[in-house]
Parts: sequence; C-alpha cells; structure tokens
Amino acid sequence: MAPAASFAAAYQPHIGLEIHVQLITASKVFCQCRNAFGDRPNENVCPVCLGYPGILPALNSEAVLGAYVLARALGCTLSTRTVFERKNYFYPDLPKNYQISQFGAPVGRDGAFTAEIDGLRAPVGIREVHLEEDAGKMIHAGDISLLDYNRTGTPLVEVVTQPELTSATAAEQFLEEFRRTVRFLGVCDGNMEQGSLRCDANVSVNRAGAGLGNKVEIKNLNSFKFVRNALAFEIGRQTAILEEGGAVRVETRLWNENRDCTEPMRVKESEDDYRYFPEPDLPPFCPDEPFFAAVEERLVELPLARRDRLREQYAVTAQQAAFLTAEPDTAEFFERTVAAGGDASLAARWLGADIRGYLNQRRETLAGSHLTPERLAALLAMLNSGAVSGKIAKQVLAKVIAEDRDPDAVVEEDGLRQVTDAGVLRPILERIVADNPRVAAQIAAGERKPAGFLMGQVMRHTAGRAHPDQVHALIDALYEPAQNGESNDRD
Amino acid sequence: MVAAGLVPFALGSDTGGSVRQPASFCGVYGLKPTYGAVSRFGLVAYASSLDVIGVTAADAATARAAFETMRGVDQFDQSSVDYPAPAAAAASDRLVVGIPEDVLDGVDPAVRRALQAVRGRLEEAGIRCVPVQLGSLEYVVPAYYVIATAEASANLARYDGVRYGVRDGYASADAEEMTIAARSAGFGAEVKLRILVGTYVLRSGFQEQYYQRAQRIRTLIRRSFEHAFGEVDLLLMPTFPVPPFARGDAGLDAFQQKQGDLFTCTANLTGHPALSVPGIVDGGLPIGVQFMAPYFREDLLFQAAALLAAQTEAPRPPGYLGPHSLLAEDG
Repeated sequence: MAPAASFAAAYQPHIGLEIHVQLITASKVFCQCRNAFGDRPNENVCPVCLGYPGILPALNSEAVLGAYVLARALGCTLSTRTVFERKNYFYPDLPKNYQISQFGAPVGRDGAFTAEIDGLRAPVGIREVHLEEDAGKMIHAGDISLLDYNRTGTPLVEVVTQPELTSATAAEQFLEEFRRTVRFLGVCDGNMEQGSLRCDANVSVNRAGAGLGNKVEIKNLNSFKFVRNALAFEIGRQTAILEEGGAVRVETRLWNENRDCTEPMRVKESEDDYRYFPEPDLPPFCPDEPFFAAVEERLVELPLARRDRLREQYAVTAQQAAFLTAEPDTAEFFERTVAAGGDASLAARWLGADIRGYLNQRRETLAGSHLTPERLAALLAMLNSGAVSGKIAKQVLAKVIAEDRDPDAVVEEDGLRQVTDAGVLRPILERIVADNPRVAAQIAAGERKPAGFLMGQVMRHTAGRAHPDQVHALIDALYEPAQNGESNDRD
Repeated sequence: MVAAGLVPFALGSDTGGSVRQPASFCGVYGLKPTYGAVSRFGLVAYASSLDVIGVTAADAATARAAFETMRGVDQFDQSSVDYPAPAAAAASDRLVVGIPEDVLDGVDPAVRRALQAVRGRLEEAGIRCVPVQLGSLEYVVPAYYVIATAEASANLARYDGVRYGVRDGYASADAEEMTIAARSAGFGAEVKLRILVGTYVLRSGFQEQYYQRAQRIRTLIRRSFEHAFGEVDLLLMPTFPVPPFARGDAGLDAFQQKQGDLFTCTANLTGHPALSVPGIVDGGLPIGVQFMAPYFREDLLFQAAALLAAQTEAPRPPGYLGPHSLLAEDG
C-alpha cells in the first residue's frame, strides 16, 4: 500500500456549515422598507434600518413565520418563546454596531436534514436555526469605502449544522439539497450569486476516531464550486500539516478564487466575545396555536421525498426525477401536466429536453412562459394519438410558447395536422414520380433505392405533415402495380 | 423651567429618576409612567429597559392631562402596551397607603419630616397609612447600574463616526482607528466610565456574575413590590434620600450620588409608575416625596396627589414662580 493512501485513510475531516438564508418577504425584518436585491444603492433605507438614534425595531411577522417554517422543515424542536438578543461588534456596515440576532433561545434547535450524498442517505444534525438582521454592504473603491444599506435589515436565517459532513463533495451535495429545499419551501430564492444564500464552513481534520481537531473557519463560500474547491484545499492543507507532525492553527480563512487556495483572514486568539444580551426593545416572540397552524400550512413535500415519489408514482428515470425536482416550478408543472391527462413519460422527456432548450433559448422560465400544463398535456395527447408527428409537435410547441396559442388551435389554424389520407398523399407521390423520370425508371426496375428520396419529397411537399407509415405503404405500392391495380378495380 | 413658570409642563426621560428627582428639588410634580405606557419611539436610548418618558408639571392635573394624551400603544414601539382606562376611582376613604419603614435607614431627617408631613395630610383626608415591609433595597442600585450600563454600552455604540458621532470630514484612517477617534473625542468621562462598566459586565464568563445576577435581583425586587401591592393601593417613600444640594458640589461622592438614586431607580427597575409630589419646604428648600402604584394605575397616583392638594396647597419655596407667573406679569 502506498504511504500516502494510508495517511489519507488515517485522517478524518469534520465539516460543519453555517448557512445564511435571506428570507423572501415584502419588507425588512424590523422596518417597513422594501426587501429587494439590485435596487439603486441606499434606496430602500429608513431611520430604523439606518439605526438612527431614537428608533426602535418592530418585528415583521412574515419573517418570523419564514424562520419557523424553515426550522420545522429541518426537523427542529420549535421554540415556544424565542428571544432576540443584541450581538455586539463594531463594523462599519453595521449601523448600530450591534446586530439583532438570537443566542439563548433561537427559533429552532436539534434538527436533522437528509441529503443524498454519493448515493447514500444519512441525516446531518442541525444544531440551531435562528433569525437575525443582515448587515449592509461595503464597497471598496480605490482608497475610499462606500456603504450601501439596502441589505441592512434583510431578514436572515442562520442554519448551523453539526460537524458531521466528511468531505468537500459531501458538503457540496448537502448544500445543493439544502438550496433546493429552501426554494421548494418558498422561503428563499437560493441565489448564491446575489448572496441570498451564503455559506461559511468550519473544517477540522484529525486522526480518525480522535474526535474534532482544531477548527478553521472558511468564510464566504458563495458558490457550489467554491465550497467544493475550498474545502478540498483546506482538508489537504490540514492533513499535510498533521502528517508533518504540526498543529493546525485555529483561525479564519478566506477562499481566494484566483489563487485556488484558502488564505488566513485573522488569527483567533480566543473566541470572539459578542457580549450577547436580550434585546430590550423587542419582547420575546411566543407563537400561539394559529401561528403554529400557519407554519404547518406552509410546509411542502421536500425535494428529496418528491424525487422518490415521482420515480415511484410515474415510473420516470432517476435522472428525470432529479431534473424534475431541481426546481419547484418544474415538479409542479410536471405533475399538473400529468393531472391534465398528459403522458408522464413523454412529459418528463419533453420537459427535460425540448421545452428546457427552447425556453433557455428565449431566456424564459417555465412559470413565466405561455406554456401551461394543460397546453402541454394537449400537445402530448396529439403526439400520442398520431395527430401530429414528433417533428411537427416541436413546431407546435414553439408556436404555443412564442405566440401564446393553444396547441389544438395551432394545429388546426396552421394546418399542421398529420395527413394520413391516401387520397391526398397518393397524387402527391405520383406527381413526384412523374416529375422524375429517372426515379420512375428505377422503380420500374424494382430498385429500392429511391424510396428514401420519395419519402423526403413527400414530406417536403406536405411541410412534414405526411404520416410516415402511410407514405411508406404508398411507396411500397408503387412496386406492386398489378396487385394495386386489382385492388383498385375492386374499390 | 416649570418651577420658573416658563412652561406649564415639560417632558423628560426618566431612566433612574431624572424626572422625579429634579421635580422633588424644585417643588413641582414629576411623573414616571408605567414602563410601556408611553412610546419610546423618538427617545434617544440610554438604557432601553429602564427609559420612560415622564412629565414635570406645576400641578397634578396638568401632569395627568399630558400623560393621558401621550399614553397608549405605538406600532413603532413593541414594548408599548395599550390598556383600558381604570374603572371609576375608588372611594378615597378606602385607599390604603403603605410606608416601607424597613428601607428608610440612612434617610436624612429633613426628608423624614417631609414624609411625616405628607402622611399626616393623607390621614387627615381619611386615608389609612400602614407600615409595609419591602425586605431589602440594598441591591437595587448595583443591579440598576449593571443593567443600565450594559444596555447603554450597546445603545451608545452607534456613535462611531460612520453615521453618528464625531468625525472631521472624510476619515483618512481605517475604520477601527476612525471609531476609536470618534468615541474618544465624542464621549465625556462619565459616559466612558459607564460604557466600560457595561462592556465589562457583559463579557462572556462574567455575565453570570454581573448581568444575569442583576436580572435575577430585578425579578426579586419586582416580586416584593408586587407582593406589597397585594396589601396596599399605593406606596409612599422619599423621592431622594437627602434634601436638594447646591449647584455644583453636591457634597456627595460619586458612590453616594449613585446610591441616592435608590428610591427613584427602584421604580425603573420594577417598571411601576411613580409620582413625586411636593412635600415640605425645609430651610427654604423644597423636599418632595414619591408615590408608587401597581402597573398601569397612574390614576391612583393622581388621586392621591389631588387629595393632598385639596388638603393643603402644595408648599412652594421662595423663588417659585409657577405656571401663571408670565400671565400675571403681562396683566
């Protein structure tokens, strides 16, 4: 056995994630400012989120509900008396120099969340789920720093996992499933590029069986790629230090995407002291029965469960099920298509291929397009019955999406119905033969070669609407004039 | 201002007695409402769980009118509460006033005389005065200062030069240096002391010893007052343990000054409403006394004040001009 392999096996990475989830709400968590990304800097601000002296926070019930829904979906024990606390630290993007967060009595605790990691499923412990306010954004421009407070006060849920993930790819797959879950719940849009979903990781490598090692925190892993690459790098770095008999320094590091490595941000001499104490401006939130009922009402089938059910109920492939549950809209669209009479297998195939491709090309989303489950079901029904060919069906799909018309109307009005009538097709075929004496001669000689040419020509003359089987039959008939003549006589 | 007759009433923030103590020293009325009765929105916070907007007025009726106008729930202050107006006032001869004689050690004889005088007037008006036991108020001031400074250390953190506080033009240093400069220049010595104390008592590892212990003391004191209000309608006690002192040197060291807040800051700690009323004029100086009532029973405070005023007009010190002085001069 190679020495490297034995060393690698002797060390065990422990990874815990701290995931920040920006909630979708109309207004910010403690004021009535719009909660939106991408507006002009400092447009959505007011005395409350700017921390003016003399202001007080007022809790947004929509944000609390979102936090409870997520905590519930993550299997947490929900707090019946959740307390907001001040987390004290100085930073220029934090107007009050304290963040209203939670500490002693968070919204939820002791949950578990299951993702499929390398084909296996095991629950990962959720330590806690708490609600807090997001900070502003600092923009460094040359030698000056600018502040955009639009993000200040955005409702932010922090989810802290137990250090139970054991590889970079496991963490990535966990985060992917987590992202799908918040999107299915409708609590967050999961946009990592815009910072709606952000992730820090705690990584410690130690000898297998020796428990946790010295913890290194890696900040701002803002894409799945960063999560994978940064953790892989960090596990390698710590393992190398341990192999050389060294000790890993407890510190915070940042992923440098340009150099493909983590770099020290600051050394932690001791744990940060945030001097938490209960926020005197906000009474504890004590949910009542109607609130808990509202939480239950907001729960949905989570993507992993839905993937399993789709495979079982509709006999779609694993790959199709994964695609269908990648986005909540897709899963919903698929099931509604089937409910409207659409063939499940066809629907899965079309959603995953032609529909996806065409919408991407038009930069449209499924939910925002003119295609509805009812229209797709109607189109697939025509395809199944032979009323249109696969090729025509694709044209119909394009017209439905581009022109906002029902598939039946497109087929009828644009004359796209498949032509099966021999009385219509035979004269077309005969004219083609008549116009091509060389072909006629080949047929007379019994040569099969022109058959493909004839099929193509008939399709061209019927704009692809001719039923291929019928055309085949008619072409075959050209080679048997006598029998045909007899049968014609009997007609 | 009120005693000088410049305004009929004035508002002030009362975190540990800043409305009642000056009122007592000036021979006027000073109300600290129940915590939550008046919105704090707009009040620059010092100690958020203790801060209350109070009223100073030359007579109790004006204080009451101002309070009734201000009180009520405010959607911008989630610690504010609404409550129904109390039912018709209780018959005066049914009122019972408790005097916590067990906590009056160290109170100046002049202040004791004020207390006795007011007691006498109450009894003449047919109100029964009885002794009550509050146990000890020994830990009130330490608990008060721990909680107040802890909250203040956070409330004052925003004056860092970024948006609030002192900063000369553009900051050339980095953010940390800018913050240090802003706080060093902007805060006075007493404020710095309080921020330091507040930061210290909140440090992790020290919270149990200071902040959390202070909160437990607060709970115990609140309970002992709630218990007392199970027996009596009102409590009567000094507003301040010594008579008014001269401008400048109070003759009290820093610790004695803080200890002097004992009777006023108790009401901030427990949240109960309190009203300082003129007691006597002693050696030319006014000495007030303080009533405390159950939560949201400001009406009882005003009822007692009205009874006293009907008995004897509030004694006024030399130099007191009162609310109608300006009008009188005009006429």
